[in-house]
Amino acid sequence: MEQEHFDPDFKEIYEWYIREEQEESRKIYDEIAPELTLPVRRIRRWWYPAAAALLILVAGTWALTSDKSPFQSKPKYTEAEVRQSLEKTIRALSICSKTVREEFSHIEDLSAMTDAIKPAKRTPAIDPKSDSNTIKN
Amino acid sequence: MHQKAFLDLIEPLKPRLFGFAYRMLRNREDARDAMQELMMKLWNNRKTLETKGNIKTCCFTALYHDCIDRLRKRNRFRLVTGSDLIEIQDNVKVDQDFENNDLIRQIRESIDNLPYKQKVIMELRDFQEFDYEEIAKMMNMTVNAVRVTVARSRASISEKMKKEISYGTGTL
Repeated sequence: MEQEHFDPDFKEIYEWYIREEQEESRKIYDEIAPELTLPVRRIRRWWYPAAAALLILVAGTWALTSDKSPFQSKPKYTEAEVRQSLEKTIRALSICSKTVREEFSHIEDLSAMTDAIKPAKRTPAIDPKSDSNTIKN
Repeated sequence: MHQKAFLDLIEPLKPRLFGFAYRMLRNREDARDAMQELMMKLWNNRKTLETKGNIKTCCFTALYHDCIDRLRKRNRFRLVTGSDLIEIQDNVKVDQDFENNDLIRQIRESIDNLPYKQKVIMELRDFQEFDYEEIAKMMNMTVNAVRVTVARSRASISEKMKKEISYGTGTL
């Protein structure tokens, strides 16, 4: 070290002083070094918990709102769908009822002709005029 | 600049930079904060860092300015009217851990009582071993002015120590 302006006696002391000071500051630096982090490291430190929190938020939102979610308690069919299905069923039953009436109308005539014959167990005759055979809408 | 390149560049300088900040501020927490601030500044400007000639000089200059700002905020020193020299107003409180040696304390006091700019120049020259040219660039001074400042500071410290301790009699 160039210390040309120092008294030769003091020069030695000063050099010793510099070494001591440097040693001391180095000791303190070693203690605080772990606290001196780069911003990048800081970001990484909170990036993972933040990403996990975001993932949980997205998953939670999906679970509560999506139709495909197993946690979803929404009804399977809408009112309109149920109504449409019922109408279709009623229409089918009406057609079915009409067909049955037509098919079995001659059986009624036969039974009138063979009035004496009483079967042990008869199929109930269908009255074409009866309202009970049709399903009311 | 990638993180690794940045660290390779800055990491070796960190202990010296901290030593500078610590001796300038004489406070462990303030020195740590100044260092952290510097690291962030350097990281944010990492793209231009490579284009700047001497990174070491650049780091010390930035830290020097940060230390001045911190001391200003503390109101611990005053600007001398009509001069760019800055003096420490009150006695700098040194961590008790380092007060165990009387001689060190006396030399430290005599250096701390120098005008602030002289103290910085002494630090850069004697502790950080910068060239006169580099110091001149950092402090915005001429090389000759730096030489004169160093000579005056050393003479002043020598004189003070002569009065305070009998170093000439081998009582170190």
